This record gives sequence, structure tokens and C-alpha cells, in this order.
Amino acid sequence: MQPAGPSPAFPRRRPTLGRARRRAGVLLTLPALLALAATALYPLLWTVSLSMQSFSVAVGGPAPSFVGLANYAATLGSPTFRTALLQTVAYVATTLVIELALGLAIALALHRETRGRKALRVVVALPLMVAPVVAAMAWKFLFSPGYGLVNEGLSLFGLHGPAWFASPWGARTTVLVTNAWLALPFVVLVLLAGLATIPGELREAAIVDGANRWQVFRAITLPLLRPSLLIILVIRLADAFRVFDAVYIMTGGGPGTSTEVLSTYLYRQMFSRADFAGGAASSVLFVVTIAICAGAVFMWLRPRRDR
Amino acid sequence: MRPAGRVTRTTATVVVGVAAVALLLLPVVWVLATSLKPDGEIYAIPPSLLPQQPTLAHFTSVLSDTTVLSYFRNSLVAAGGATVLGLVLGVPAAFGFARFRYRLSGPLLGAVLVTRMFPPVSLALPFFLQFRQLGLVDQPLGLVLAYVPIVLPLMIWMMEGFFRDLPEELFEAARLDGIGTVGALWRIAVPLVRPAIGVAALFGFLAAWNEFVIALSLTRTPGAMTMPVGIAGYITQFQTMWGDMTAASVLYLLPVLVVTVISQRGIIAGLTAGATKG
Repeated sequence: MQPAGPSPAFPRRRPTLGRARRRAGVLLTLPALLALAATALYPLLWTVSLSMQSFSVAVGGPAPSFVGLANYAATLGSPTFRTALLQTVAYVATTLVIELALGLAIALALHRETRGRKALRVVVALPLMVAPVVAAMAWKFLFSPGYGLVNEGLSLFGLHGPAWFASPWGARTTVLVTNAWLALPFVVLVLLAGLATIPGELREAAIVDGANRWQVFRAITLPLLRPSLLIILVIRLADAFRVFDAVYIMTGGGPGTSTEVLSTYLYRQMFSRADFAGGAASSVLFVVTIAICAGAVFMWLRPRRDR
Repeated sequence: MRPAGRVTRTTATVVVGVAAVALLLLPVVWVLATSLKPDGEIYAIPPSLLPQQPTLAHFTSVLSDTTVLSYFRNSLVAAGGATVLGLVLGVPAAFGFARFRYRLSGPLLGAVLVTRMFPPVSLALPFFLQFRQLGLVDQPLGLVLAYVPIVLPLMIWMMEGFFRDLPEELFEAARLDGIGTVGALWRIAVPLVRPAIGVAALFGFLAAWNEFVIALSLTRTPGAMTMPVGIAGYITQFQTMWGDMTAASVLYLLPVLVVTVISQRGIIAGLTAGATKG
């Protein structure tokens, strides 16, 4: 494309290699950075600014004015917001424990040399491709009293399934099951990739030294899985906090406010009640909550530099 | 050492494995089966897993409904547009972050990845109020722009590691040949990591194709609504039209499942690359 430049053997007034490389780096990354500044950073700063103003949607209503932290005080004073915040944090903690426990069990089972392992991996990866909205719809149907399959399945064991969506804990269970189903493939696949990096000789040596399976798991497998666990926790934490689709489709936050989470609370505040300034304040509090929790997990599990 | 114990354990593994596979497949099989059942069977008590008298009635009903076709087209435009934008902006950026370090490139890459942590519902409000003034509410084009912060960081994250793993000698040779930065990217790096770029594009597409809350917030009419918003609309205050809803869901899942099965090996590799390279 370019005309042949001066021969590399006799460079004429070329900028130093390092400077040229740095400039190339800036030029290559700049378009994407500008796009993200416009679509992520600017909306975030705009939300922070809106959260400190009064805002009226009515045409010809009072002009926006600075109200300081009044919107934050109102949001934090709202019992529904506090319920949603508490339930979100409880949901995130529960779902992470369930996903890690189940994911670890499935990954350890799939890691062994068994027949049909490849086919099993495809099955495990399947929910990854299913839209959350469709998964929520399918589970809502499966959990339906009467014509749903879950209670039918329970009755085979002589159990009488409850009306899942009528009780707080029943409804919470359906949301947990749906999201665990959606998230398991990611957890299992990342753990399998992590397990593949652990040399088999380590475990064999431990067994020769008389360690039992549990000791091998505690002393060798688990510590060496730390990087994989960190990735899973940080990514799944952020994903779990934003849970919306399953709640919106399956329970609508109910019964009462027993499955209300921050995302559904915010959606309703902004698009049903048109409380934009209050929504902005809740939004900022939401992002801060995620940042604190993700930061805490990262500090807890980050790679130690004690090599 | 203890054959009896081993046999029990193997049996237990098989039982747990079969149960796990059944549970993993159940929702997908259920959606497919329901879409093929006549209405009488859908509400049958007790329910049966497989249709007794399969029918395509729900598919013909959905396919003759112009609003469903419009949802499908809007989903294609929004997800396809966002993926193209993600490739155009993301490939050079991932290459630059991986191979041309500058003073702020580390922190900036971190900042790019952190945008993945934003809850989408927090983006919906500023997008809604800004787009209202720009005339982009209820437009598929508006969704393309709104999906940039969802698709682009994901694609950069997935591609950066692959560009970083290419051997430096390749690029030294390229520099001696004087083909320039763009040439090194286009003629050397891109052909070598093409499978990874494909996986990143697939995941970017999937993130936008499956996205719900932003589409729900920014669209109001079937002319702009996407498939998930349309499918959620089958749940009305009075009843849920399970037959049509599951048929529309099958049409919505089908393209993704086909592409996935074709490229499943690359997907698993691409998805877990970040985990093993840490």
C-alpha cells in the first residue's frame, strides 16, 4: 500500500521506535475508548449529576435545580429500596454459594475420564446460549401449579409441591433455580479449564504419600483453582447483582415485595413512576454497592505476590 | 482397593450425571415440546413431557403474525449492528492494548473491563432521557448505540488475550519488512487469531441478542421491539399464551443454537481463555 520508505539500514529522522509504538497504541485504542466514554462514562457522570437535581417530566414544569443529597436521603429512606437492596445482596450471596458448590461438583465429575465426556460438555454449555427471558418463561411454566412439570415430578416421590409463586420463599426458590441454571455452564467451563492446568502428578504424589481424596481436594485442587475462582466470583458477582429478567418475567417482584431486587426496583421507579432524579440516585447507590462488593472479593482472592 | 465401594461410587456418579443432564436439558426440551402441543395438551393436568398429537399450528400462527417478524428483524438489526460496531472498534483496540503499550494503556484497559460491571438498568435511564431529545427512542438504531457499552468491553476482553499470545518475532519481522502497524494488524495478526475473533463476535452478538432490560426501556412499539420484549409481551395480565410464546421462543433460540453447535469447540476455548491465562 505505502510507497517503499527509506531503507531500514539508513533511517532518516525517524522517531524512536518506542515513541512510534506508543503513538500507534494510542491511535489503535482511541476510537473504542471514545465510544465507551460516550456510551458508558458520559451516561454515568450524567446520572450522578441528575441524582443531585430536582427533575420534572412535565412539559413547562419547574426547571431542574440543585438539591444536593436530598434524592439520596429519599431513596435511602424508602423501605422498598432498603428491602430491594437487602434482598439483592442476600440473593447474590446465596446464588454464588449454590453455583460454586454445584459447579465444582459437576466440573470434578466431568474432569474425570468418562465415556461421553465430550457430549456431556456440550449439554453443560447449552444454557449459555438460551436467552434469560426464554429460560425464565420455561421455568415459570415448569413451576406452574397444575399443568407444570415440577410438582408433577415431586408427586412421583410422594411430595406435594407448593404453589411456588404464592409464597415468598417459593417465589425466591424459582428465581434462584432459574438463574443457577443459566449460570452453571460458565462456572463449570471455567473450572474445567482451571482443572486442566493442574498437573496430574501432583495429585498422584499426594495419594502415594497417603492423602485421601478430601485432603487432596483441600490441599491441592482448591488452592490451584484460585485464579479460576477469582474470575468466576468477580464476573458472576456483577452478573448476579444485575438480575432482572427472571424476576420481571416470573414473579414481577412479588408476592408483595418478597422478590424485589435493585434492578426491578430501579426499572419501576424510572419507567413506571417516572421518578428520574430518584432513579438516578438509586442507580448511583446500586453501582457503588457493586463496586464495594466486587472490590472486596478481588482483595480477598487476588493473586498473592509471595513467589 | 475396595471394589464394592468403587462400584457404588460409579453408580452414584452415573445417577447424579443422568439427573444433572436431564435437569440441564429440561427447560429447552419443555419449550420445544410445548410449542408442538395443541392448546388442550398444554393445559392438561397431569402434564405430559412430550406432545401426544404434535402440531405446527403455533408456528404457522407466529410466522403469519407480522409483529413477530418485526421483532425478529429488530433483534437482527440491533444485535448485528452492535456486533459490527464491536468488531470495527474492538479489533484495533484489542490489538493496541495487547501489543502497543503506552503509559495509560494498562489502567485504560482496566477501565474498559470495569464497564462490564455496570448494571444495564443503570444505563437505561440516561439513554432514555438523552435519546428522547435525539429522536432515538423506539428506534432499532438507538439500541445499536445503547448496546456498545455491553458488547464492546466483552469483545475487547475476549480478543486481547489472543493478540497478546502471538509471538513477538512475527511483528519484528513485519517491522523489518516495513509493512506498518495497519499492515501488521490486518495481514499478520487478524488472520492468525481469526477463530478467536469469530468467538468474540458470536459472544458480542449473543449479549445483544439476549439483552432485555435496555430494549424494554427504550422501545415502545412493535416497529422497534426486539424478540425478548415481544416474547415477554405474551404474558398478559389475564392469561399467558404459552403455545405462541414457546413457538416464538423456538424461532428466537434456533439461529443461536445452530451457530453454537457448529462452532462449539471454539466457543469453549474462547470463553475459558481469560480464565487460564489469568
